[in-house]
Order: sequence, then structure tokens, then C-alpha cells
Amino acid sequence: MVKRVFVTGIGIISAIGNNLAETITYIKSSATGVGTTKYLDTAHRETFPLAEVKLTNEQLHERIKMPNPEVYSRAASLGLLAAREALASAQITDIEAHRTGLISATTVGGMDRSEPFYQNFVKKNEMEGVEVLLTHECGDSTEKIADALGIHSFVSTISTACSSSANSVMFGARLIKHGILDRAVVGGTDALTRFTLNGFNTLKILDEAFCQPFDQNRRGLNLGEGAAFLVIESEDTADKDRILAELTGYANTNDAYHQTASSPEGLGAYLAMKNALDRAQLQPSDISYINVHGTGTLNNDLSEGRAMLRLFDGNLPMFSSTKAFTGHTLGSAGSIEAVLAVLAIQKGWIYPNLRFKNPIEELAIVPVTELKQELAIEHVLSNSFGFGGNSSSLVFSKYH
Amino acid sequence: MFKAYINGLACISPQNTLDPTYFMDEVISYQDSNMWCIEPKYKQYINPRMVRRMGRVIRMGVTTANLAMKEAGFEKVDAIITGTAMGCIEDTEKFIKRMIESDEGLLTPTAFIQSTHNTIGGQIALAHKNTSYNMTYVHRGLSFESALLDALLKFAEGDAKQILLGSTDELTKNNEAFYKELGCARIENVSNLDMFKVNKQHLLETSTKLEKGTQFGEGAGFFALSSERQENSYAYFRGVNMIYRPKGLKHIQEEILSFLSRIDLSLDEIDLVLLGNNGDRRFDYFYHNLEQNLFKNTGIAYFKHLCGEYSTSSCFASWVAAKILKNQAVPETILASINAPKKLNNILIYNQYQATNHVVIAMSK
Repeated sequence: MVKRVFVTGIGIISAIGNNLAETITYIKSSATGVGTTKYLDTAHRETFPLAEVKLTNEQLHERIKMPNPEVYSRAASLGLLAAREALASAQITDIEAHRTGLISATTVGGMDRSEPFYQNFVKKNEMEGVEVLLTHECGDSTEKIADALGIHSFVSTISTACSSSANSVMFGARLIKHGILDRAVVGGTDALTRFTLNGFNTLKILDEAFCQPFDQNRRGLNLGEGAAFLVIESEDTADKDRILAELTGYANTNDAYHQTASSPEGLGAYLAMKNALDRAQLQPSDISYINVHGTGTLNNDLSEGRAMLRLFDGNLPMFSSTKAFTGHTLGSAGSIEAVLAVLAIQKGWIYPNLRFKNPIEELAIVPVTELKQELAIEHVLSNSFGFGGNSSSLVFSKYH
Repeated sequence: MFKAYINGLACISPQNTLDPTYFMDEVISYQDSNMWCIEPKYKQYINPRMVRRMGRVIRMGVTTANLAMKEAGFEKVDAIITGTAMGCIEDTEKFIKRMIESDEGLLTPTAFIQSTHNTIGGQIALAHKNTSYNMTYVHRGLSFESALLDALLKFAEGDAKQILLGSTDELTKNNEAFYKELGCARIENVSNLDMFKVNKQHLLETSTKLEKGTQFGEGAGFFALSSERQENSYAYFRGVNMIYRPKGLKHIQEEILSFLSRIDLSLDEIDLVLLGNNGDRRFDYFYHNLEQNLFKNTGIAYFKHLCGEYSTSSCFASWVAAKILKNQAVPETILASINAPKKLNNILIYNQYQATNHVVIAMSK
């Protein structure tokens, strides 16, 4: 078994920038990506703010520079841009030089293209353009990205709701440790759709204002979209000069409490964090920063906070939710935050939890509210939890 | 080497597979472009309070998961790993339809909640109060195979002693119409029994009759796996290999041979190959090629005339393989080669989906 797995490349596109450089600029100015809905064609445009990627589908299609770009769903386009950036950042040009896999994650795949088809089908019983349904499946965006990058050795796709892409990072690492792959492009992509927006609206967990994670007066989440990928490599193939961080811990558990709600004590979250630390052979006190799941819903933040207090026995490390920047990007949230964890280690940053005012009474814990710089960040814990009780935690560590 | 022993299994399919005594002795005929599952009365398997709210595919998944656990005598498992290509498509369509009809008006959450691909894994965890590892793979014709690979890795990592592995995919009335419109589903002269005849006699005069399109099926199946052999183990999964966009027929053969050498099997140790041909002339040459070349001296059986075509049909094929290894016989209804194999120690499943996703699964006695 390979012992160590390193991150050698990162790529990201979200409401706070179309690439890594833009993302850094947004973060430095503490500018949120949440805003008035501009791109998604929805009846709820005036009601709910969203964290949209600031590009139309046509602009995305121009950027991916592929033949027949119109067959790329928004998720596939976003994913391809982020995955390409990750490979470029790892300075990988010959993809076939080592066994390279692509493990992506998504919750609704090509739903953005299916919706207009269903609009005609439901209202007029017309089946014109039925071919778009071939891009509906979650696997479609993964295959589009793999084909564009020339990845043949291994492809797979994970969907575990809002923890999906944390799990693709984990699966990729395990495939490398078993020697099945030498390196993998791992992450996830999700685009905003009417389906998701209306779905979350039925659950009454959307904030009509800009979300305030971990605040006493939090009201719900803002949905977002985006994609992020990491290049991870085995210690045998990684160029030591290009290592950005080490993936030292990971764990996946289930809350087994409710299909959509977290248990009051956050059992799944507690176990995920604890098992990830155990795998990394770290003590809670070793953690420099927690990038919390922190959606801004009443239920999640209280439950996650309780799990953190239990694990860290009251001595919480610095923590923040970056969802006030990016919105909740669902299937890509885990990998977007994984990229931010690696960036935190690289830059010595801890991100501000935007719009935080008052601590949750039951918890009395305060996140970081201003960008902290020039810190020695040794270990970052990144949490991602989802429907179906899925709870995942990753630990990224500074490379020594 | 990978070993995942099968101690309990259950499968809901277009055949009577839920009957524990069923051994493919009869094949139900379907004269339509879709082959729908034969469903049980769910209240005998799932808490009636939960059944009422569950979508069809969730009922099928949770039922087969519960039955597999029960047969194996498992009280708890250390991982729940599922695969599905389309997820809970009926609930997804239901929610889309209501959303469009109401112009994004007031909607209820149940269909949306159940539309999530990991619903079945989550529901099983919920029903069994299981806080362990829980994963859902959703990659077309590699969904079940990714889940199987994950299970094999878990055992190899020493992280699990008992695992629940399964997959689900469902048909809907809408999908039936879409597949016809897309030309994937055969519209005329449809019969799953003819599909077998066409397949079985493909070398003879029927080659001109081979048509475009196939019959679509659906199914749910779960396996209760353990890292150690148990008294009543059926067989063990020995490995899985996924080939994405092979560069040609030769490449597939090379991949199969290198997979066999990795799992320490030689070609002549393979007693039976289960092939997933479905009568669609656009894709069946993959199977015919292997049958005539690599596996020309191996026993051959087919399985898709039993379950229809769907992305996670290898799960059904694995059920067939486990039953064959347990019973040490190949039913006439599926045997395609002239002679039945003399011994049944190792079975290979080869299946492909839309020419892009190719898979090989090895199972041993």
C-alpha cells in the first residue's frame, strides 16, 4: 500500500471567481459571491438570492473550447474548466504518463438541460429534443470531462447529496493507496437549476436574505453553484517540489437520524471528524482550522457546532464557514472547500465567516470574522454533510 | 487478493427472483419494450409506516437490502455501498412535473427528498440505525461496479468485516416513451425470449434479423458480504475491472487477460462466462467477438433476456453467478454454449453499456 497521498494541483470556479486567481482576489476583499439572481431563469428570481457563477451558458461554452460545446450541460462546462485548471496547476501535460483517474461528484448532473425538455413535455406532451436526456445522468458530466482531458484509466461518479465531492476526494485517495491509480483528478460539479431551488424551497431552509452561518439569527442557506477539482498523487509519482499539501485524513459516516435533518447532537458529524483525525493520527489540538459545513440553517449549524464542542472538548480551533462567500454549492461543496483548505495551508490564511454578528446561544462559539493572514496552518479539517445522513470529513496537512 | 464472501442475497427483477427456490427454471415472457419488476407485498419486509411514503425503487432497494441481511444473519454491517445510474427517477420526474405544472408554485417536499441518488443508502442506514460508512456511486454502467470495487477495497483495508452492497435502477412510463423516441428501445417484434434466440443463434441465419434497440429492464439487488468465509457462503467476489472507452475489441481482450492475471486466474480456469448481450446489433458484436475468440473454449451463458437492459444489470448478473456457484449447475434457460461446463469454480461476467462502459467481474466458489 502507498502510504502518502499528496495534492499537487487545484482548480476552482464558483460565485467568487472563474478561476483560482479571481477566487483569491474575492477572498482578499471579503466580497461575497451571493447576489441577486441573474442567470437562472426562475419564478423565484426576486425572492431568493443565489451564488451564481457569473457566466451565461453561452459564455461557458466559449470558454471550454470544445467542438459541439452546446451538448455540455452547465455542470459539465463548470467541471471541465475547474479540472483543466487543476491539471495545469499540477503542471501535468502528459496525462497518460501515469495511470490517472477522474472521480467526479454531482447531485443533479445535467438537470439544467433536462428542465427545458420537460417544460415542453409536461405542458405540450412534445418530445422534441429528447436527446438532451442523454446528458441527464450524473455520469455524463464526468465522461465529458474525462474525454476532454484524455483520461481513460478510470472514471467514476459519486452522489451523496451535499457531501458528494468530499467523498470523491476520499475514493481517489484510496484508489491511489491501493495502487490501482498513480494519480487522480478528484472533485465535483453542480449547476444551479430550478429543480434544486424549488426543492430546497419546499424544505423551507432557504434564506431570503444573504445567509449568516453560525449566527444566532441565521435563517437558512443560499444555494450556489460551481466546480472544484484537485490533482492528488501517490508519493511515488508526485514531484516533491510541486506538493501543495498532503491529504492525511478522511472519513465517511452516517448520521442515521432523518432523511434530511441532522441529529440534535450531530452524531454523524462527530464520528466523521473523529474518524478523520484518527486516520490522520492527529489529536484534536493539532487542528489549526476547521472549514465547517456551516450552511446557515437552524438545524445544521447547531448540530455541527455541538459535534465540534464534543470532539474538541470545548477547546475549539479557529473555524469559519465559507458558504457565506460561495453559497451552498451542493455536490461541489466538498471539493470547493477542499481547494480552499489547500489554499489556506499554502497562503497561511483563515477565511472570514462573512456576516457573522451574534453567536448561537446554545453554543456560544465565535467563528473567525476577518481574513487572517500569515499564519502557520498545519492541519485543516473540512466538513461536508448531506441528505441521507451522509457525513464526511477530510484533513489536509502542510507537507513536510 | 480481494475476497468478498456472499452470505446473503436478494434480487427483485422481471423474473421470480425473490422466491428463494427460484433457479431460472422458468423465464417469464415480455412482449413489450419494457420488462418491469415483479414486486412483492412490501409490508411483509418493511415497516408499513415507512412503506407508504417510499417511492417504488426505494421499496425495492430497502426490501432486497433487508432480505440479504436476514439471509446472512447480519445484525449490523460496517458499510452500506450502493450504485444507481438514474437514482430515484420516478420521484425526480414527479417533482419536475409538479414544478412545471404549478409554474414553480407551492410544492410538497416528499418527491424532492426522495429524488436524491443516495436515498436508498440513507434509508437503509436509517432503518438499521447504522452510522457506518455510506456511499453511493452514480456512474452509468459503472455504478454497481464502482460500489463493488469500494467494497473490495474496504475489506482489503481491514476497515470492515461485513458490508451491504447493492444497486437499484427503475423504469418509468416516461422513460419508456423516451427510450422509444431515442431509438434505444425496440418497438416491433419484441420478446425477451426471442432476444435469447437471436443471441443464441447469432452465428446462424438470424444475423440479418438483428435489430437496433433492445428491451429495457429494471431491478434491485443486494448482497450481504463478509471478509471471511462463512458456513453458508454462496461464493466470493474476486475482483472487478472497469474499462472506459476501450480502443477496440483487441484492447478489451487485453484488459480481460491482464485482469485475470492480476486476480491470479488463467483463462482455462474460467468455467463459465456470463455475457450481457441484449439483441441490439449496434453493441452485440462486443460479446460475439469475445465468445468467438477469447472464450471460444469456455462455457457461455446469457442473462439479459431475464432482466432486460439497464445500467446496473451487472448486479443482476452477479445474483445469477452466485446462484450458479451455490447450486453447481447452469440452468438450460440461460446456457448458450452447446455443452454445459464440467465444473463450476470460477465465473466471469462481461457486460457493457452503450459501448463506453465495459466491465468484468470475477466470482469464485
